[in-house]
Amino acid sequence: MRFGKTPHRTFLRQDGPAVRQDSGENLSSVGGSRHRWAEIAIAVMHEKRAAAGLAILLAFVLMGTLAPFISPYDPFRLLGKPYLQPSLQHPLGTDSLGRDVFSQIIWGARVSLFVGGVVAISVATIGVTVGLLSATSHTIVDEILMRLCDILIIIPKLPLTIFVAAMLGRGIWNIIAVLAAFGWPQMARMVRSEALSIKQRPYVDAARMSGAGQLRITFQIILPNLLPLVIANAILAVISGVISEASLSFLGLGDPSQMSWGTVIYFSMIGGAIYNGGWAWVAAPGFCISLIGLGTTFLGSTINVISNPRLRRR
Amino acid sequence: MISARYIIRRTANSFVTYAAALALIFAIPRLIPGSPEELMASSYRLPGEVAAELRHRFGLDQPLTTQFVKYISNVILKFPPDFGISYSYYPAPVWQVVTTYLPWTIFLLTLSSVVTAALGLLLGVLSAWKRGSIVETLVSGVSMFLLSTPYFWIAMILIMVFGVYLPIFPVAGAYTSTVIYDTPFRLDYICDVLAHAALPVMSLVISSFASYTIIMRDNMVSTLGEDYITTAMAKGVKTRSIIWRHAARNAMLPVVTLFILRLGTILGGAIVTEAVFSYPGVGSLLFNAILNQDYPVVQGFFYVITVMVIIANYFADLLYVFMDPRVKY
Repeated sequence: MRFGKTPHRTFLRQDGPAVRQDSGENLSSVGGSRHRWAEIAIAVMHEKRAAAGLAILLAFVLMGTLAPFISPYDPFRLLGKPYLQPSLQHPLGTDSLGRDVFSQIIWGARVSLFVGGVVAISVATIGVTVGLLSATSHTIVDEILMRLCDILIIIPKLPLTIFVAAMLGRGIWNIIAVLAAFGWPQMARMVRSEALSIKQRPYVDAARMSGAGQLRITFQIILPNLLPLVIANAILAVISGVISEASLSFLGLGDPSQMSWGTVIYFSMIGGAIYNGGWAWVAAPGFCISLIGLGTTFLGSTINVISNPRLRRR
Repeated sequence: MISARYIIRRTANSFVTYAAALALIFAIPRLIPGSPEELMASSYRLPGEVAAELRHRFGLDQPLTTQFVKYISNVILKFPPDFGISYSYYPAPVWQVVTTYLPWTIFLLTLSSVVTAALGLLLGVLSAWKRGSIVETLVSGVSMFLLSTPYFWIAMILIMVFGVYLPIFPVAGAYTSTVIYDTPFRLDYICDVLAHAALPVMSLVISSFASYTIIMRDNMVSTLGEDYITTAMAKGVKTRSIIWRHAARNAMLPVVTLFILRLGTILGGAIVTEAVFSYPGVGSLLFNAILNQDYPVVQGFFYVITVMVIIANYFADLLYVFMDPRVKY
């Protein structure tokens, strides 16, 4: 990066304990980094916040996975009176058509988290590919890819997503495709700058001197060292996927056959919940989204801090 | 200090981004399946020859290169940029339609950005200074929760609380449309506009101040650990002066960039928020244009906001160098 490109200077740069442990282990093979992984995982779980975040996320994932078994009613079935207040029978009341809101929230976890998860995995895959390609290739390829990132970052993402999603038509896979297509540039940038900094470290020089080729260096040395950062940011990408899906659904561009949390908010808006005392109907889905956000922030930022010694100094 | 080379490189970058954005704005409606004349033909049940005539009138029967050259010359060489005529506000030119709605969004964005930054900074400084106390726990807990709260949900909760249960603020529009004022510079008109802006601004502020608070807190904590703060304390400088004049001023630097980088995000939030409050800004305009498949307006919208964000980013980068003499490029 900016620190100069001569190997001498990088040899002199000792920026924290992680560099020292890596340089010993990663030289041999991928297997050597397993130890560091376990170390990071243990350190992460020792943080109260991260453990709480993981617990929140697991609870919601469990809720989504088990939705067909634990949801008391079919979220789309008309059961009885509209706008029932919360009671034992309907913990979050009923909506304007007399459907059970609690069941909608449980099924919503399934749809929202599915979208968030698939978007996060796609964003991570594209981001890592582009970032690594950019960091290890010639200037011209690097320049083109980074300008592309600049453009996608600079055009406000939500309007663009809304427009393309509206044109493609309503459907859960369309939404996932659009969110993945516009979500990767930040990840690519981060991967690129981290890969460039890893490239400067002594153990990469050592590997190169011992005869490792570009491919081997990229996939066996740089990539494993990047992964904690990628995982942390993929976790953070889950919530942005959930929120973007909710925004689209709220604007009526969602998949009407899937009850996501955004769809629940959309129905509460057009069903006039605000003016008919349906406070639980309005409040519950947004509260769940914020909780997911809290969980991903806790977990993702802790992994970021622990795997990146430069942040740990604080 | 700032070097001429950096300015040139940064300026060139902005122009490359601008050119690429232009190309993208041209490409997107064309990449999407279906074309305007097919849509019109199917929704109005037009016979084939009428659709062909429409295709000819729109210039869509020309090769893409011709269309592109025409588009570029209309947008770059003319002022105001010519995006054609809006379908849904026929026969108003796109530029006129967009600039009618734009002031309301700029008003909303400016007001909410300033309040957001001020509140975020204040809470960030407070929680850094009271580190380890209940205040910090409370502030960072609330911020973390609000960090990923959807704008529109906050908006609905606010409507429910301040529009229905405690009806203080109006919940729709930008002014009372039943009253006609002879001049906009009247106190009651200004109050009316501010009252209408209250809930949209509040929902934008509540859902976006948290990122400032969290970054400001982190910066403050590391700044407060610097030697010159210890020196100031040893000299007996007043606490208030240490916090604001010594620490906060330095910790604030990255926040300035954040302020401008977040413009795009807040703009996205504003679009959804405007939809909730039927606020007559470009967000509502875009949304209606999308629903009516009014491509020229959509293109005009993206052009205007992209240019705004590119310019803002450009000046943020330059400003940063001027504000922080330690940054070298």
